[in-house]
Amino acid sequence: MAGPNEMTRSSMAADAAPPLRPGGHLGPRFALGERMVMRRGPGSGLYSTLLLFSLLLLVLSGVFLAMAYVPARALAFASFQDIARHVNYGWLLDDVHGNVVSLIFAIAYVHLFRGLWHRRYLAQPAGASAWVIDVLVLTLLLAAGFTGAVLPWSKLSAWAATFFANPGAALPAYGSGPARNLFAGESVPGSVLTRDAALHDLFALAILALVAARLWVRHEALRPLATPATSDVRRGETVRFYPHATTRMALWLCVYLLVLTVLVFFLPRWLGQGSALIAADQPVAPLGGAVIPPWYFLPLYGIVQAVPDRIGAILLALGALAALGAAPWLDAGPAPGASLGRSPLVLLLLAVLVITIAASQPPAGFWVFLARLSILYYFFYFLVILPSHGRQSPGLVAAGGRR
Amino acid sequence: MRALFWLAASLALAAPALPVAAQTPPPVNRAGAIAKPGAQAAPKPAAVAPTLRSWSFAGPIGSYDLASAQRGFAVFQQECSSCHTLRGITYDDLGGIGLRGDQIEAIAASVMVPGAPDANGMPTLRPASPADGFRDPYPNPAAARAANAGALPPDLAGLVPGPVAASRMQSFLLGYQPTPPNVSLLPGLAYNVAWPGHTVAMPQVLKDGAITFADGSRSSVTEMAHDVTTFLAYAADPHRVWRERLGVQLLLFFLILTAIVWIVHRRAWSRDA
Repeated sequence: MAGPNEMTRSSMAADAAPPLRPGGHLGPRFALGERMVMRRGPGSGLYSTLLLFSLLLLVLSGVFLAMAYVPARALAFASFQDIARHVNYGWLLDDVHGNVVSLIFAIAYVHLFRGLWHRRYLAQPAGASAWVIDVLVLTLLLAAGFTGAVLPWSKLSAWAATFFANPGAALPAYGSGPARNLFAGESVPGSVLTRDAALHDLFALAILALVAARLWVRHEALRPLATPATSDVRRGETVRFYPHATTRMALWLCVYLLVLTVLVFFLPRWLGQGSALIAADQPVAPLGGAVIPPWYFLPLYGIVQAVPDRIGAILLALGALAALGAAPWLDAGPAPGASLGRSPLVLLLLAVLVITIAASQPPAGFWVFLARLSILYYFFYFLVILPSHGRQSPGLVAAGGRR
Repeated sequence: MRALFWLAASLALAAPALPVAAQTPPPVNRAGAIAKPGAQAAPKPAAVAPTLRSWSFAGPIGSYDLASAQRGFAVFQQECSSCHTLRGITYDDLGGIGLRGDQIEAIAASVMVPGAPDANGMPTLRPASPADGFRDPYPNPAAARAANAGALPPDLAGLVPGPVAASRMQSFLLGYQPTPPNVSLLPGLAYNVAWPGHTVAMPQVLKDGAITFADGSRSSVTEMAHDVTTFLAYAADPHRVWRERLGVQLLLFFLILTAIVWIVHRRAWSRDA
């Protein structure tokens, strides 16, 4: 946070000699260097930067992987093996693609939890619309990750495709119309991989479109703060895009690249690609191991695994995402930024962790009970705690509440 | 709002006795056993935990022991390849365990593979070239099952992706023991304490002195198991050594870059916005 002395000093410096900022010669609309962004939290551009950089890596590696990949059940695994063994730097493309997916999910999960923790979905400007886009991005990431995990037609892929096919067949209106072309039937059809590859590309495009929309929402919402002159009111809350925001983004990108280097070059299969090494038609799981979904599916998979009813499980998993996305309207809290008390959120984090761990265990015994309890708490948090906690303090609501 | 909550609650609490197995996908066997169902009525005895061994390729600066991998290739050729496939690997890939080009050509040429049809349209055979993949021992999976008492010998290309899997593999190869008197095995099965259930469809193939190595090494079961595991580890991860060397260089590069960017960041933020 800037103290009063720094503020005076910096405004004097700005008056004295305005240096040419990057993009300034293109006109005020493109003068990114002149813009102000938020010092921290939403609007600081950090999440967008990491998300965009991850997507750039995914698109680049994905395009080259697609050049050597054959979406046919008999050839898919062999083509993946050929990429990993014989295509020039194919192993690098494969490992970068797989591990960037892990990083992008880690970034998205941390970002969403920080949003819940600080109740940033209530923040002005444009907190709610950015939040909904963030939850949609997570949903599409899960969809793209799922369709991507099916592509190599490994043990894990066949397992995922069966999982995908069966609940689809249990839907009431299923069995006629375009749904049948999109999803598999009760058994996995021969064309599963051509459909799956098309959907994977579609989800990737949709994520790119959403991230562009998210940037635009922030860009427009921050317009009143765009120039140093108009942002004097919120002086302590904003910093210049250049050099402050850009150097911070560069530093975080360096940390990102360090982590990615360790993962790709020393622990390429540590985050759950091990099951992709065994072809779908093989008689054994990896030596002594079980096939477990990659870690980023475990929170949702935990919900599906703990609920015995097929349709109920799918609806509940989708409901968990919907509840997350509806947080700005469910929260009846006094004011953005005000604390809700830490224990409900710590419990929420614990509940999600328990669901995640339970999903990696065989679905029996105590873990199922714990997972069900955690799922109950998850919905209790969004549907009871968030709507009701504001009403317990009527004074605060009158002072600045949304309802 | 409340109604939604109770709907969710009732779904989550729906009768715990219902079979959760509906959600567990069929192709996966969490125990990972290939033992035939019904071979033993008693609860399956647990696998003996694998002994962790030291491997030449373990750690960030390890590299494959090429002599061991070459002996392992000889073991694979003589003992494993009569039943197991090694899909996706070509004879050219043997360059990675230190074989010379002429040696690879000789090895490939000793194998006959299907060639182009002749002028009358009849199928022909030709000697394999280095770019060909390893020949499969059986024409199709059904033939493989028929020849192995109903069990399909797994492909070996991806089975040993690292040191932990390598220790498991060696423990498996050394886990064969004489069948205890109180255990009765169906024909075609063998007793192996390293596998869950202690029953496997693969017989013990490694025997002391079964192979004469070109380099004059002794061929004890322990050494052959170690060598063939090293070869299979190479087959599963042929770029491992190259990857890790590149990784060390990139890590150094990014550490220096991060330090420079950190200094720039500090200087930029010391002049506040």
